Amino acid sequence: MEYTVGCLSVVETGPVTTHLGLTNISFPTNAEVSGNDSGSLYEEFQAVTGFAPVANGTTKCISELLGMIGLNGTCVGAIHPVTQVDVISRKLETCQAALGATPHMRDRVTAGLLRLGTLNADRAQDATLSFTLDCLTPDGTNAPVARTDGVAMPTPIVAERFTLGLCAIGGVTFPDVEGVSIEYNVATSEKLPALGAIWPDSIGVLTVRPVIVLRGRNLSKVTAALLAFTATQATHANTTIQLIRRLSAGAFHPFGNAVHIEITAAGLIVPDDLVNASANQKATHTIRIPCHYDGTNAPLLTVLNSTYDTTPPA
Amino acid sequence: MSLKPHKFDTVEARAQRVIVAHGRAPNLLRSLDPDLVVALAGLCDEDGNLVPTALANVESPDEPGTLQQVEVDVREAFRLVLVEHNERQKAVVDDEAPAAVEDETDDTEGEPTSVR
Repeated sequence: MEYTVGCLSVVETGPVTTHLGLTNISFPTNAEVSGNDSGSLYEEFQAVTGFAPVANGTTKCISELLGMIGLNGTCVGAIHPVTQVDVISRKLETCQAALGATPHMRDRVTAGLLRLGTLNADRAQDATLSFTLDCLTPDGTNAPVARTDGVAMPTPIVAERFTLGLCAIGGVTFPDVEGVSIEYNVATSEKLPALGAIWPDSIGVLTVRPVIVLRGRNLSKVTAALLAFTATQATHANTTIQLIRRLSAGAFHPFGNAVHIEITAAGLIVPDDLVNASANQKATHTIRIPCHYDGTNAPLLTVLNSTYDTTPPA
Repeated sequence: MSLKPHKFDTVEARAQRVIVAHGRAPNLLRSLDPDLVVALAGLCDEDGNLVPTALANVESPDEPGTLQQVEVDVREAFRLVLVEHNERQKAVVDDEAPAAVEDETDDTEGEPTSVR
């Protein structure tokens, strides 16, 4: 029997179920087995002392996922906006065994924390967004993940594709940007097993420290003035990262349609790499923006129904 | 300086702006009662800027059970709206029958409850 990556099914309050296409998924159990630390030659006593599955995935359905997961993470549970998450693995029809009516594998999570990982957007390539799902025991009695062997493939599976658009940093447009990455850096508290169980029952968000890294090929964007001050301020009014939505069977959705993504940030603009070059290749530089709370708005603001601005900032 | 001139001329757009400004998922808007959406929209102006303070009804410390109107900052106002939302969610969940232990044969059909 052979399987491949399937999709991520997310149920939100309503209920509203959305199936997101995944580019990859990794779902370690983080099972801990320990012995009794005796001086014996062989291990005599082994027990499972912890079992804390964590799903890590990547998707191109950036708008859908950003709609479900906020900057601070989103809890999964009966009373939370996301009530259930399924990881579906698609079974292959092989020459040895044909597929039945409901052949696929489902791993269901009904308690946990969804948080954003990294948004990567390189020029002329599809942008990707990674996420993490920390699984908890829903009631102290049941395991964090319930596996069902034999489900139908959900339908329809959402397919979205975005690519990097024109960005503005500190009021300066960057038409020569090569790539942008946003590390969301959502740090969580230590997960410990519930008393009398091997599964964690609680997780909390400690800090959210997003960092934007922009890689460009126009070295003149890092000005002497920026170097003299070593850092300058980015605000939501003058710093924007844009993602253009691709059109199936076409190129892009019209720029005037409110379907594109805009992310604004407040932080400090810090030159990281002044020049990175080698023979027979173009030089690049990098700028880093650690983001902060500006007194009113979260460090990153996301608009999922934005028009695409060809002349940012406004 | 105002934020980029997005269209914040609907109650929902302004409420969602407030939600995102507090680090919460935009889809949270869908699960809020209409009166809570209106309450959140009042924290955002038509340019997408969050107003610094808002009037909120909170329980009077001197007269428990009665409400008084106080001026709170926007973070506190947002927190109070979410507290009310969470209490309503818990009431809904508590009223429903406890979920049965999952029967693994139920999902051999595999179709989700509803699909967007």
